Amino acid sequence: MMKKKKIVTLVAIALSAIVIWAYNEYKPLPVVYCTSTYPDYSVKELAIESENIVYGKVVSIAPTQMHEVRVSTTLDPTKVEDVLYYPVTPVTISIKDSIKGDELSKIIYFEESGVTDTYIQKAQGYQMSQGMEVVLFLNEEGYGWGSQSVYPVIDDQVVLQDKAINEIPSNKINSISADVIEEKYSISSSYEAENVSTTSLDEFLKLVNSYIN
Amino acid sequence: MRVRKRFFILAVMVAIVFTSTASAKSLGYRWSNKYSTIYFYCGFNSVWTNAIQAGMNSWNSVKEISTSKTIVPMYVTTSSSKNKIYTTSNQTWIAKMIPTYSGSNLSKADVAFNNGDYTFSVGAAANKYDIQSIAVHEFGHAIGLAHCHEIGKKCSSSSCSQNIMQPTSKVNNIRRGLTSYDKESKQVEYYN
Repeated sequence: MMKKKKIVTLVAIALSAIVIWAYNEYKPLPVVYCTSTYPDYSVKELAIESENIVYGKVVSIAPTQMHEVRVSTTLDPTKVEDVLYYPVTPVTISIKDSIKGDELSKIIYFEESGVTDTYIQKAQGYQMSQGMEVVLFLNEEGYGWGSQSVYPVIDDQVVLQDKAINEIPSNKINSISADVIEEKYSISSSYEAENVSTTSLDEFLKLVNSYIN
Repeated sequence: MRVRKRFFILAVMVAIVFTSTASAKSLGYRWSNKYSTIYFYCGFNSVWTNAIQAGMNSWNSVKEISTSKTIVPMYVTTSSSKNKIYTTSNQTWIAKMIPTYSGSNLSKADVAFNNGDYTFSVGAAANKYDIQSIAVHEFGHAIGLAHCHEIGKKCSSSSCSQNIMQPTSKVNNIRRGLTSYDKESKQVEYYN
């Protein structure tokens, strides 16, 4: 009787351990959002500020890296005393058109997002995905200025954001359901609008080129 | 009479939660003890320190509906603290709150101002960012609030562009005052 009780207890402990292990192993990681504040740029300002403006296709997404931020507790940022980190994900873009900058076949865009051991950070705005076509405004190191630097392209239509909407003639702007973008093209975003504005790729590139030439 | 008062408070709280959750955005974590004071080490001069504290004070003025208590009050300190305020350079962002998590809670929050690549001022000035406007935004993140995401048609509205939790900031501009969206976001984040 005593032996039977012992066996039952041991089995119960073993089962509990398995359940706890399985929970920790497979529990979904918490999802968190981006916390950077970027300059409020118009498309013109973005075009001027960018070292590279490219139209291309996402061909690979590398594992998340921790981006290093060297910081100071004084007003002189060169007096580095500490280092902070946040996740970035290197995204390789196969370039179809180099709109500004060197003629390259590929470029790496560092998206402010990623999967770490303890959490998933979503990108602000549109999240890069395999096969996605996009126009990107980047600095020389492959970083953008937040969501305003990312313009997804679907069926030769550029998905616009606020400032771009204001810079394109209203008769050249179309509308598409945000659900269609997500479901048909697998492009997810942190935005909450039901509909988004688009314009033709030609019209958008014409606008960008007018600012850099 | 007491029952009616209780019912009224409950009704107000429920109304706030149901009208706000559609817009309020959580970063995905918050401080576990909503009444504990959060201190941030700040070693800057008084001009910067006062502007940063003023940014925190905007959030400190938002009270919990049911108790009228201040939720996660924030203060700068010159004493040692796990949370720090920094300067930095060589980034494309103007400022950033960099959190440390423990489960679904914040365990540490650092804020970095990029004065290596951008210039700050107190008040509106040409080609400069108002330090207090940037601070109030970053300390919104430090209490667990995300950017407001109603981009597209909604975000072109005058009210949305005034939200402190907008993801971008303009030079020569002051945006220091919390909108009802911002205040409700904090109240909803710490509702229970």
